Amino acid sequence: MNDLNFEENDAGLILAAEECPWDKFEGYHSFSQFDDVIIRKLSAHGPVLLRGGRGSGKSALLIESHRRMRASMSAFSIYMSLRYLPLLQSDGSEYIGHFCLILSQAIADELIARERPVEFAVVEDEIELQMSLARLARELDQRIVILFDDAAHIGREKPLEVFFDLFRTLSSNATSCKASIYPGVTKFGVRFDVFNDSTVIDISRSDVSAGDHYFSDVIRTRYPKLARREIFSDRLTPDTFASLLGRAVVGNMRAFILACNRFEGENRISIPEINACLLNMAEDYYWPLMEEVAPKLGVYEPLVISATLMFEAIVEHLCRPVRQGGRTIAQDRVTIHRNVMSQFSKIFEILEYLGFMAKREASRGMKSGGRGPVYAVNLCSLIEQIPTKRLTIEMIDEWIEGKSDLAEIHSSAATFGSVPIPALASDNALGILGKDVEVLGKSKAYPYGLTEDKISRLKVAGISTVLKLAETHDIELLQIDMVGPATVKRMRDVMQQAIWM
Amino acid sequence: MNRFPAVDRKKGGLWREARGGNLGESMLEGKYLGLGTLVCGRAVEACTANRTLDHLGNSIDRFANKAVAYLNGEFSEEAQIFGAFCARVTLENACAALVGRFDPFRMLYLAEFQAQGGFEYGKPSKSGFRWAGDVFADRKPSRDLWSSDHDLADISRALFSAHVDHVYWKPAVEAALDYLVERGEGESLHELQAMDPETFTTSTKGKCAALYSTLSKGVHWDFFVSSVVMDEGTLKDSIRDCFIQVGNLGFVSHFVPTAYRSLDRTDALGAYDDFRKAFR
Repeated sequence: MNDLNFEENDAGLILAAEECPWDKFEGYHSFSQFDDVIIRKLSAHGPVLLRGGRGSGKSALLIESHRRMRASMSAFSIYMSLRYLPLLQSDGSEYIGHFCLILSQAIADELIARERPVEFAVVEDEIELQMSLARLARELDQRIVILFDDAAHIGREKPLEVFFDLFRTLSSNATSCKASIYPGVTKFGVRFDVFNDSTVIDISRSDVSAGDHYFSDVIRTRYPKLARREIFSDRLTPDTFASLLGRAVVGNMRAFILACNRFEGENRISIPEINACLLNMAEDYYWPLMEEVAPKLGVYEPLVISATLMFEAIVEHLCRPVRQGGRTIAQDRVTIHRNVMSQFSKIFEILEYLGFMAKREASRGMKSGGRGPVYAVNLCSLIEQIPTKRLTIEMIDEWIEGKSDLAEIHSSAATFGSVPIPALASDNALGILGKDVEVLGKSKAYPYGLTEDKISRLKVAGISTVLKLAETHDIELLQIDMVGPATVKRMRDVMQQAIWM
Repeated sequence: MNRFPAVDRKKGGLWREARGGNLGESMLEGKYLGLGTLVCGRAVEACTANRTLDHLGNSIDRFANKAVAYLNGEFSEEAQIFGAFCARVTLENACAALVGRFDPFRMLYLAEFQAQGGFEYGKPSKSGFRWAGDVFADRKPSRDLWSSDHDLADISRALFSAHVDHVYWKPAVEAALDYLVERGEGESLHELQAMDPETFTTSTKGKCAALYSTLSKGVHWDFFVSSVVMDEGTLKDSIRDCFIQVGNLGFVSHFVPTAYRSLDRTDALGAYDDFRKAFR
């Protein structure tokens, strides 16, 4: 009973595609024409890496490709999450062993699920697996597509090189590998040439300027009430609302859903309500993200402080002209000189991964000379720092249109003078594993975290750390009083969000 | 002769006029793609170079117009049989045309050679146009591009060689991006705005190499098991990739100051825009 309430209280709040029940997936997800092109690429021959920040929609695209291939029978596809603890704790041949084991198990399971009368041996060796795949394609008379989700973990880069090696080894005429990666994934190992061994697709939806209806479509599908003209004040339309929210969270789907949820109880939406929502998002969503992600960055954990300082410096750079009276509307995009980028690359990758900002252009010439990429900054953090903290219709127009000129941060500027680049340790244990299970409690970082009651029950059962929870089998969890299958699922979901990226 | 005259932005371009507001139907017909002009540029004087590039432009148009119909239309047996072929010809002819515009000597040599009695259909020609050599450098460049020890013969003039990247592509991509900033942004320009001058050649080369082999499997039909035969997703994905790569290369080529027959920048953008709007 408890379990039921627990679930019902959060009905509709599904933040990760991989946690969405299979039968509800279709109702909760919508795909644009641009997405269709990506989905086609994920179903076609050839290796593909899908790159995007957290909550940008990578898993949803992988799962949808899998669903479509299942339905059309165009290929035998396997969707597989690599959220498997031993992969995080091993490297080299040990990693390969675990990887082959879970992949061959996933293939065998999919064959059973699809009622295909073909056996697939569970193996621990990559060459054996490669041969089994070739045999399977022949026996099924179909090509195979393997979709790897959560392969990349910024905090554990070394085994990633092994992963890309496997990715390359398993790719063939009959087997196409596809994997989701993050902007921070840069170490592909010596055998993997990212330009020749794969096609990299960047998911970016931060540009809402060209009459794109992507976010309007999402709202119509998931929040039909917010698509009705009559609930908006005169100066707002459902399309403006959708575009503004989409732009505010630089196209991040997870943040977009969280923002929309805040309007569910509203019967009238005007600019002050949106203003309040964006300010709340800055405080309740963006800053807690840093806190949440820190312990899973492994060797890069010390960079979180630098990332926070750097982002504050960027926002300050954008808001200063408003404070000093030089501008009435803060610039929302900034070109950052290439030299600065290379100096602080990992820090920028963390900010991009978390969705604080999104790369809009790869290279733009700067008025002050030189070139650099253009970043769009989330509007929530921007509004938080402008003196009035007030959103106006003029700002909405300018930010959605994206017509204003860009701010610039030049290589000689002192903007990032106070941002430290700490020395990184070689030890890359993930801090999150040693944390107390209390971190999994309901909080700003984990809006659907565990209740205090459940945490104390875990502790009484001797499960005091995240690692211990990860290692405890479901059967043991079910033996805890008042813990049913739904609670176990919730525990697993929040634990996985905490450990994996 | 150029089949497709200059694209006039003020009038909204040929493509837009021709489709008469009915995008779907025209997309299926695949006419007036204008890729030939985008890649080969334009000139009026009668000379061998222009005749050759006009001829290549016509080929590109003929094959690309077929390919776009396969891309936008329902998947059919005809699409499966001929789609890869049309895309492959588009890719090869486009690269050949760009080689010709950057390095007219190579194109004039080939044109002259094929017009001579020595050119035989039944015999491979050692100095003919080659993917490995003319498009891809046939040997790896040494680490140092500018060493006084390099022999002239070792400096590759292939379309994607390290030296051609340095002297042509990189500055041209920068100039093209600067021009796009001047012009403001648009929906169809995302692929252009994602270009990075530093990695443009390496990444385009990687994509073209993969495309070349994928499409070649569809041309030679070297499928010995039915499971790997080119299916709808793979075919359409390859045609689209081919168009994106060729479109980007074509657009950027007009920002190489020494390239032959370059379009005025406005016309280049107009041609690109019309081309890019012909498929999703």
